[in-house]
Amino acid sequence: MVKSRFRLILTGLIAVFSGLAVISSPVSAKSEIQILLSPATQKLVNLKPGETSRGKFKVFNTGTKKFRYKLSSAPFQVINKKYEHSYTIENQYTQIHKWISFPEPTGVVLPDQNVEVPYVVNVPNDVPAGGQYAVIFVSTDDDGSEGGQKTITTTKSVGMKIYGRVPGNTREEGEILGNSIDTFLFKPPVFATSTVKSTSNVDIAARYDFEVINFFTGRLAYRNDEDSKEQILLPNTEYTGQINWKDAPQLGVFRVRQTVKLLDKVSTVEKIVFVLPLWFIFLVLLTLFLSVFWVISRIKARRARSQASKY
Amino acid sequence: MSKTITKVIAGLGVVAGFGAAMLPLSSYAVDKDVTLTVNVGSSIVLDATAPASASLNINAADLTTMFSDITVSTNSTNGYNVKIASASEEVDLKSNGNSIPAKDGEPTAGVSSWALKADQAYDGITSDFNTTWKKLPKASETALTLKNKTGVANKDKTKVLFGVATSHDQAIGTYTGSVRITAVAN
Repeated sequence: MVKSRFRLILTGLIAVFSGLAVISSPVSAKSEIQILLSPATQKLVNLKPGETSRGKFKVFNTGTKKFRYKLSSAPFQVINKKYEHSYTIENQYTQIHKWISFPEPTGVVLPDQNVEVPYVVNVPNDVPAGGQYAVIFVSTDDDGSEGGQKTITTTKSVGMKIYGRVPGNTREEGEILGNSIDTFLFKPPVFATSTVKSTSNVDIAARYDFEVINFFTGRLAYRNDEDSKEQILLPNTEYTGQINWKDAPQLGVFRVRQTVKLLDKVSTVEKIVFVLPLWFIFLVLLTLFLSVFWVISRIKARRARSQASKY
Repeated sequence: MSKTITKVIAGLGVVAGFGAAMLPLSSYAVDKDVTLTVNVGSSIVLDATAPASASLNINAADLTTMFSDITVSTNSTNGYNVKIASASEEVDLKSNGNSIPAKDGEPTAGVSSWALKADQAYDGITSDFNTTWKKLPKASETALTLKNKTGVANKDKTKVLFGVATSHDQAIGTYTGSVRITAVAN
């Protein structure tokens, strides 16, 4: 009797929890309009004056509704040391956006489908040697709704950067202006900062090697990935970047080293870094204070006893 | 007895025969390393929701906010830039010749204006855009940088707030405008 009742209760509990699991299992809803562009960057390293270059990329629809898209090109530059983008600044290094054309400037992509998009670069005869930079945008203002007016219509544009180079009298020059590591940190991440400058007329690459070693064990705690070691610098720009170890522990002592390489120049900085949260510093100071207080009180007590013994 | 022995020997012979037949197969087996190469290209994904219509009490000056959720994914280890500007040279909200002008500063009920700012709850927002209401730039002007984030991103979220305020004498109508949100890998 008891056994059968137990079985009944157990069966009931299993049924209840199974039902809850089904009800509460999260359903990740796909967005209606979602654009994926690949690759995110392309290099055209041989743009010969008077000749035509061709390229292609893919547009994917990772949403649930089809969308219409249109293609456009814009200049690409950066506007500060953080390398925030500008798609409106025109100079000698952004002429390529005018050379780009699209055999099929519009199209439609169905959900879970992709299209291959060709583009053509007609290089004029009289262009200077050096770098050329642009962004090709794929834009859609479909919002997936069937009628109804939105107060603010959103156009989504995903861009692919073009790094081009016209061969000829090119110049690769640059400097490493700074490379530093902070010694005392109240919290993660552990990081190193550097500033590099390009005085080239083509894009050049700065390379960063960042290592964190546990001070007590001597073991490697972190090294930046192979893929995150490089930053492309545009002509006549400065870039201030930071490499960091986001998953550093809240408390620790590390030996941190960063090496920056730019063309033939190398800068290495290495420091002992203390990651000490404020509560730990407070605890240490409190312990120190209490220790000093205890020592002083012991000395006073001893003196009082020795004086009392005299009398 | 001799029959039994004969059967055993015959059985062992069969087993030995199978074993011998297997030997050449195992002796001539060759291990070969096959290198599998998979090239994964860079990519970037953008999803942004358009704000729904908001109902404004036009006759009694009002203020309302709407938001647009932006989600970006990229395998570029240098991260991405998200920017916002008008999709055209028009930045005001328009309705049959009437307008709600785009202005810097927080919209206030009673004064016709609209502006936008980033939701500061999300990291990577440029420092002056998470506390300051800004006027939407024209398409030909430098777009506002909503986010400049380093590192690979997987459905990284950002939220843009649109604030709209009307004046006491704001003309009746449905006011609309457009923005362009761009995402480019760093």
